[in-house]
Amino acid sequence: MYSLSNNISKYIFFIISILILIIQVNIPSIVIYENNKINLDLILLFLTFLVFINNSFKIIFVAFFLGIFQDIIISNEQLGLLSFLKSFTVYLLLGIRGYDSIWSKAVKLSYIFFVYFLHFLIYYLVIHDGVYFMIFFISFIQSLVCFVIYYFFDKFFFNIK
Amino acid sequence: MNLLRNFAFNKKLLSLITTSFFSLLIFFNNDSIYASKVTSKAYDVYSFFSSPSIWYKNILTIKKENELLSKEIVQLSLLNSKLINYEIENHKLREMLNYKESFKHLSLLPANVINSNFSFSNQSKIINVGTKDGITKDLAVIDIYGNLIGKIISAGYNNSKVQLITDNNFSVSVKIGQNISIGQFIPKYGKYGYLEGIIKTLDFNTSDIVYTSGHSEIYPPDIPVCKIISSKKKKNKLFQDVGVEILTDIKNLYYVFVIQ
Repeated sequence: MYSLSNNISKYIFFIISILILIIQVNIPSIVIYENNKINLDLILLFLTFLVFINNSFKIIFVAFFLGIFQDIIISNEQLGLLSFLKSFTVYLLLGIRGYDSIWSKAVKLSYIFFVYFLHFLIYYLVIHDGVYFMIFFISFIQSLVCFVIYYFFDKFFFNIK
Repeated sequence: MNLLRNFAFNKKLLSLITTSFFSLLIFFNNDSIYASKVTSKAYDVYSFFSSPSIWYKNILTIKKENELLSKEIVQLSLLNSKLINYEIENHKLREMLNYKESFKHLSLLPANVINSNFSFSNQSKIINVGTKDGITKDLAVIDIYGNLIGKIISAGYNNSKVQLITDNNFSVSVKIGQNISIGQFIPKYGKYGYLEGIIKTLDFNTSDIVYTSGHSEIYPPDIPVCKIISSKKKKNKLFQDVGVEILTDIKNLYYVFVIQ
């Protein structure tokens, strides 16, 4: 039994993870400029919610394995990159839990956006050969899309404070 | 206890380090273009941060290199001057060799003037051949052009003393003119001298060369001694006054031959 929280059982967690991986594989990319595409990173959103549901170091390992799967799905060339970025991102997101009662909702959301932006910026800096402006722009759009989806999910389903 | 407490406190950090380690291990072991791109970027960053130390090391290296080059310049300058001296010496020796080849009938022993730089005397010179080389007293000495310099007045084992042609006590029997009139060369001062015993009837031109007559036991015949620069015929005198200039350059003697 994988006890991430009292509310999510091992099986539910496992099924959700598989489901998210399947959706992630099949979700279409959005072309924003020439060959520059953005994806909806459901794994990142899933990990963000996990951080807020359970403040545990184990999520870092979960992020590592999900990142590895994502790397395998996307390309063998970048194997290890997303697993590192997902672990690092979860570590940074776990930092919010230390300020649960100190930071306001707006600060937490800003922090989440900043972490997303950092995640995508590092990713695209490694992946892309384009000019830095384009990398910043794509990273910003990608993190904005993820953040908006997170915001709506949070508002309508979880309502994390 | 504190150690365990710290470990529990840093679980998240340790987890991050562990997962990052494995992730990066996988990433960099995978021989991909992304890995090489990150590696090259890392090198760029490293070179940027290490640029001050490289700059400083470069300055130190340049300073050391400069010192070494300065030393090398001095050494090369010394070597160059040495080589120039060798060139001059070689040139002189070649001239000596040519002269020796052209006078095969004379047995010539080459020698170096060893006190030419220190002695200001116009009366004698020391040369670096002695009795071990077969030198004896009263041997004629000539310069590299064959002009008479003087004679050996004393011979040591390694070195010998030469009485110069400019010495006031020096005299040599000479011949002059087409009719071969015999006279006596006497030095006067510096490179000038005069001839004694030249009869008035003898005709010659100025700048005629005066040679040794060969009447002396010391000097072989036909060695150039001096050249005529003036002559005067006085009514009350039996002989004419002939002024001469010594041919050899006494002040610049470095190599000589001893006629054996």
